[in-house]
Amino acid sequence: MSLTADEFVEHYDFTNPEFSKLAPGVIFEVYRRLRERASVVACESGFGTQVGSDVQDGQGMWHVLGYEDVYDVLQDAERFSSQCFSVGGLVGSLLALDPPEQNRDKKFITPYFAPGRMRDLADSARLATDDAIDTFIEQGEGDLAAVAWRMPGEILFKELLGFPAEDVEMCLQTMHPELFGGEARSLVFKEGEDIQNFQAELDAYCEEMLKARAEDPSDDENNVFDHLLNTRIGDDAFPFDRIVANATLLISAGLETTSNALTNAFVWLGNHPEQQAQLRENPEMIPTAVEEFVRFSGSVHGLSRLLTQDTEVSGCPMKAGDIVVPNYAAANRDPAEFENPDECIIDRSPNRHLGFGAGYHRCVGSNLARMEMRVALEQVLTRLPDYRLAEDCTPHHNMATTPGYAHVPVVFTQGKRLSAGSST
Amino acid sequence: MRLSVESSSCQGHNRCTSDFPELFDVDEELKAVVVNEVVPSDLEAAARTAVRNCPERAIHIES
Repeated sequence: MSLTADEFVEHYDFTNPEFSKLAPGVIFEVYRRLRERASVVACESGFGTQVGSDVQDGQGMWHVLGYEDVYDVLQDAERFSSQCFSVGGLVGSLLALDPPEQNRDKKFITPYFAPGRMRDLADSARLATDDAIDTFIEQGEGDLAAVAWRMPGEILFKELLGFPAEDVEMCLQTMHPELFGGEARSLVFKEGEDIQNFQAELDAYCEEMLKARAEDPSDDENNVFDHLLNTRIGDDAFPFDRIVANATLLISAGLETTSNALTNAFVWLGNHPEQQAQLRENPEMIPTAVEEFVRFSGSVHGLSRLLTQDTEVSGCPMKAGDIVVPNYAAANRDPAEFENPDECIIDRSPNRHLGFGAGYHRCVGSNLARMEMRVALEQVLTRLPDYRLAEDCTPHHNMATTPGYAHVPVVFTQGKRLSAGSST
Repeated sequence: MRLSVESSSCQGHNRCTSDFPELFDVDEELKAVVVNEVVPSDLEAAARTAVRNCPERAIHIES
């Protein structure tokens, strides 16, 4: 049964699969109408939310929609703990730890995502993007999904994880059957149910890859996992199960989010030829536009926190043990922070969005995502001098992230391949 | 105008260092540090934008 915005405003149930099937504009309309009533909204269902938090029957669940309140929640790891995942492949990962442990583990990982390193990877990203464009540039028509759903994965796997790029598609199929015409995996768990979710399969894949790597370790620490496998904390090795959990995390977080945001940018620019031309003529504007695309498209709705004490947020009383979700996508449309929040303004400045979060759990891969989006937009705009959408694009549906597009069919004035070889 | 970054609040987003490398640099902990405490007058507008863009509100200006 498909529900309307009105029905979700009256009975907000984020965990209802029908919610993620609303069109993006309608989802943000629901957030706006709820936020106008109050910054904090109770979620109808007390069951688990995205990424496998283990929620008990009767537990309260709250979504925080107001920008200032989301900022406050994100800064306070003591009240709003991230240790709300007792099961699933993310236990022990950076996502699921609180300071000081989280800070300690993070120090081993963040150098691989440093801005300087990302600049060094831009050439690889550009080559991968050009290879994807080469597959259709001479036809005058193609699918920009070839860029959006391939390049980020290739760069992440090859350059950061040291995993084979051929495995990207399998991981995407495991996590997101909806991209391949199937039904999105449910991310909602009831107490007592077997947790069948993409993380178990992804976790098994990561464990297998890393066990093989651990048996034949490389001293050449070009990627995160060779580094972690060689790392010692005092006299002890960095715990193997945490290395696996962090691999699951980086794959879960690093494939879909950037790809979704890119498809949203491609579709929006396809629908706004003036701004497309403006960016093509002024490529120095692209980094600012990338920030706006991240704010506007929303990416991740929110990630759970577990309340460690009775408290209140914006006058709303909450109990220890409740789940609190800082909703970044909603906060990014808050008129208290952003003028004309529901307009995509590609030269918006300032733009203090929460698309990459804030606080201890700010997105470790944010600079990778920024670099990839900038390079992809530069190449698509340069090589497709005038692209238009070939047909109306239908967003695909997923609960954890705001809708993106599995396909972005476009037409354009044909051009030449850059490389003689063929790409698969 | 004097510019500073509160290191304990900085989470290494690096928006400031990417947008305004003439004002901010990255330290060995991947946190932002100011290149120079005193901001030249032609960079004052940039400094204000950096303050306003920091998701952690870690950048401070003293006139």
